[in-house]
Amino acid sequence: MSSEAEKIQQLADEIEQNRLQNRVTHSVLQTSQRVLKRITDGIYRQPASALRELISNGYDADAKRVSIDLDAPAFEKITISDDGNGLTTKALASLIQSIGGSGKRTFRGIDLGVSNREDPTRSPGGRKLIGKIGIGIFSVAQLTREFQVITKVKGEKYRTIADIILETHSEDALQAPGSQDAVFKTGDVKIWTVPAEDVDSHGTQVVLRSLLPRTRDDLASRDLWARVHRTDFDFNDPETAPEPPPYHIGYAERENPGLLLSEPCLPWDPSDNPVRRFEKLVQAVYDQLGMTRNPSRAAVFDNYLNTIWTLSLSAPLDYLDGHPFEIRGYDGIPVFLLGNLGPKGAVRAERLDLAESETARQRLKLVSPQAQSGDTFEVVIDGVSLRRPIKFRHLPETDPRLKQPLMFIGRDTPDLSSIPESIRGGSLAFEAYFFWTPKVVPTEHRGVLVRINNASGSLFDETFMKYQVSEQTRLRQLTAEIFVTEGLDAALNIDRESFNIAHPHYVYISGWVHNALRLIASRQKALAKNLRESEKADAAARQEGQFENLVEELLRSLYSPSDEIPPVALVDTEEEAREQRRETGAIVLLRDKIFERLAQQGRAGPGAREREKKLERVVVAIAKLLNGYDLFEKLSYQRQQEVLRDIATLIAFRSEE
Amino acid sequence: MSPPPGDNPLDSIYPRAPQHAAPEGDVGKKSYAPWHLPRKAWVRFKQWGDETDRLVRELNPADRPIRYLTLPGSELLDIRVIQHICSNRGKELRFLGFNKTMQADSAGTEANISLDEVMRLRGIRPDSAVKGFDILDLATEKSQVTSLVKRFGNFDVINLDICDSVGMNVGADTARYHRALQTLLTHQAKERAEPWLLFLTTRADLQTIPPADIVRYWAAIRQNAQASANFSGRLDGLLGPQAVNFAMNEAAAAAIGQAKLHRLICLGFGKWLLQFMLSAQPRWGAEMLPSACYRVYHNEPDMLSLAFRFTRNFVPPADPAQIVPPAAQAAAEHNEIALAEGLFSHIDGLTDIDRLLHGDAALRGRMIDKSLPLFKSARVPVEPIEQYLEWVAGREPKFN
Repeated sequence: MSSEAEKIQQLADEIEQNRLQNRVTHSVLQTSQRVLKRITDGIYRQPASALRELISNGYDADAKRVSIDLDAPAFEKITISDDGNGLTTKALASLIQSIGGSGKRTFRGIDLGVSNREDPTRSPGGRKLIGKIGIGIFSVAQLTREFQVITKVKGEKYRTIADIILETHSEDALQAPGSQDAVFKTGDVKIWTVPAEDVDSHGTQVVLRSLLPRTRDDLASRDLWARVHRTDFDFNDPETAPEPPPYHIGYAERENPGLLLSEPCLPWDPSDNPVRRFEKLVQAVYDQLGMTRNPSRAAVFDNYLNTIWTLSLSAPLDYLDGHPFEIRGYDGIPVFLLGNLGPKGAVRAERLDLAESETARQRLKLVSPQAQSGDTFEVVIDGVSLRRPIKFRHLPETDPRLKQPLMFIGRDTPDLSSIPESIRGGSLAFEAYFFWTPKVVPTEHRGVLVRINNASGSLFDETFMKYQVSEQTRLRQLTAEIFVTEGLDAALNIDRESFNIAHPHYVYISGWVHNALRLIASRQKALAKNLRESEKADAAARQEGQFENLVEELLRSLYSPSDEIPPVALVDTEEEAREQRRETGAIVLLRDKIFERLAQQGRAGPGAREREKKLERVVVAIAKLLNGYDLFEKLSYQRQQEVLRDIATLIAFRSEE
Repeated sequence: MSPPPGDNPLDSIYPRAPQHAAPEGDVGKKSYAPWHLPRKAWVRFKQWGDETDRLVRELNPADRPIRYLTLPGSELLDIRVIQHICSNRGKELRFLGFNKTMQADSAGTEANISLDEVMRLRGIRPDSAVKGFDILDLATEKSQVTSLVKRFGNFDVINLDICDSVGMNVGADTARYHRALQTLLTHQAKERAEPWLLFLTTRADLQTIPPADIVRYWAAIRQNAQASANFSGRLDGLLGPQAVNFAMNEAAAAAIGQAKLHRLICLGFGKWLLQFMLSAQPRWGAEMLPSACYRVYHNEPDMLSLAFRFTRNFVPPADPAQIVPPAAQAAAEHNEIALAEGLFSHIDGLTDIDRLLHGDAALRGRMIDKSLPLFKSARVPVEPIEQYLEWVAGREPKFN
């Protein structure tokens, strides 16, 4: 047994003994690695990062629901509660004795009850694990120095409580002789158990007490409110006293949390259920379209509501109105299949003609998000049930010309077998969509977001993984997500918010994304060209229709309502003319005669045929009018044609000037 | 002297030194408190429980949880009782609690464990919460408490058990107490159409309700006595003959004696509630439900456990032109004097729980039996039972 495993076992035994004697176990959080001590002390930049890690822990523990109470807008303490598997005594001991040495995704994890017996990369319940190295719980160092973990395993007649104090990292202690070999204490923990009548209950509650001043200020948007409430502003300078965002949780000063300086203004009503509240949160951003050109959530919400939004993007949740791969034929959104990289190289995005009730998922056999059947996961923050805030249907129409959104879907499982295993980085498989819409709402959703095992720590990358081609307008109209089903995990940095961009999986995916962008651009250019041409044709047809109506109107005044207006025809040969005159009594004109002068002048060139057609229609209309005024009565066929020939020549001359 | 908060820039960088919130010594040892007595079990089960059950059956909401406002102790005993009732009726429960001791370390830990237990009970909505604020902050319009109450929506049951919350002494600031109640009543009147319940546990002695308040209550009571012979007669029954002519002033109030005082406070408070709710538009009627009293500091009852039911007064559209011949009498509007007279029967019938349990051993036994699973769920040590029974016997008032 390794010394670390021994220490874990010793602590687990001690907790167990003390449980029987109603005693508190005292231990220290420690790590022998200086670098790890530093890492656990502050790799996360925002409160949302720490909350994201705690939500992931709940998901990995097979929770159906994670509930968070942010204590808004006082933000004195945060409670995160899940109905997951709970931590066994040994798993808790491992957490304390081995920071960064999580058993998740290892065979040791099976023993600790955090990994699946058949597949250690999955949770005991079969979910693909999000976490792996076990520093997630210490993300709370970003928020507080003191917290409690209350955990219960199904079937156990007790709850275990760990009361933890984290120390602030100091380099001073490292200057002492011999300190390089020392064990680094990162905190202090007291563990005890209490009897539980609810034997079948299970789950973990984390209570973050006495949040750090900086965390509270951040969640409370203190900087913003300090500017809003300042009294020394200059009336001539509008910048000095900004308006609060349209929606916010209100504001109470840290020093007096019971009193609100500003009352909340939330987009939902108290009677709305948790899902409806989230729908209204998202709608609040879309509603800004009428007021601002490009709504951004940063401008619409305070930090609190933005934190909720950020978490809704990261957690493995359902989409607000359905997964992008569930788009059906009857949604009316054109769907295209993106080709992959390769020696032959895909040249275009093929249109998929989905049947009315057929989904893109069915057609392409897409697997994301790889949820097990019947598995559900919900995150509720302060009574708001989170969904992915990305909409594909029922979008507001904003662009007068190209209104219809377009969905581009792709997937790739590159064959890496020819690459030596030592540099391959494992297998890679992913699926993706790129959703084009005239206006991406909010603007923060422009770009590409990468999910591994259906979770993400990063937000949308507006550069599309550093796409160098200048396609600014098109890129601003794209929202894309990559669902990695295999690989890339190793490229994820320890904070799970950024990638090692030199990792071959990341390099491959970014190349794939750039190729996809080229395919989208060329497909879209073709679509835009077709659209322009068909719009032109439509306009011409419209104009023609108006002309015909005008002629009809003029002629009608010359005839009684019951009379039929005599037709006028243009033909190519004398025989045809004779035959038609004989059969219909119509005025029949010979094309060659009418346009003989024009032909002599040589009227070739682009659009000549179009112009001729137009001229023909005008000549026919004039012939009808002259006939209606009985001016053709006394003229021979020959003279009729000569009159019209001269008129046509004059019209053509003027229109070419 | 340390500078006031906010003046020292280091305050915004360093928190106070972190401290453990773990129990010292034997973690299984938990002491008993007054709310573990059988009389409180009677309040919990017979008053709060039965009345809530009746309302839940009557409202029977199909698509929403029962909404409950409470001032729970750290064991959250009342929430567990209400959850049990809702669960039995197939309803979910969404609660909002205020307990200002939640932030304190030791009580905070106990409450955290209790909350973990309660949140895992069947049908508890995840947006339920207990907040570490003082309910009396409702007296301040822009307080967190007022905002939280508004954001929650309206309540089916409001349970203001002020004695259960440690440190929740109203003290002499009854104006703040009444203002807080007014905020709550106004919120309910505005946001709600269905009937709802108010449970109010409050001290009824001169230490809590100062003589000046009793004088004010008296002025309102006397108005009714002057307007209604029936009311006046009932008042005589409470305070003695010619009560309407009683010369109430602060000295007289102080001399009334606890035996009558708690009833007078009960009447005064009930009348205040009634008048206040009837003045809302649309009007709300208040009906006092069977209520109770017990002893904490005096030989006579000094703690009231009151229950009220509020119903919105529906006035049907009138037809003054009588185009349609009147088929039936329109429902009568709530009449304040008639409703106030209704208070007397409940004040006369106020259950003295201490006496009741003293005289009814079987009932006392049932209250203890019903409490045991509740206490066990909250880790109150009732095994062996003798230890608990011994403590109860030592704390119950003695009657000759």
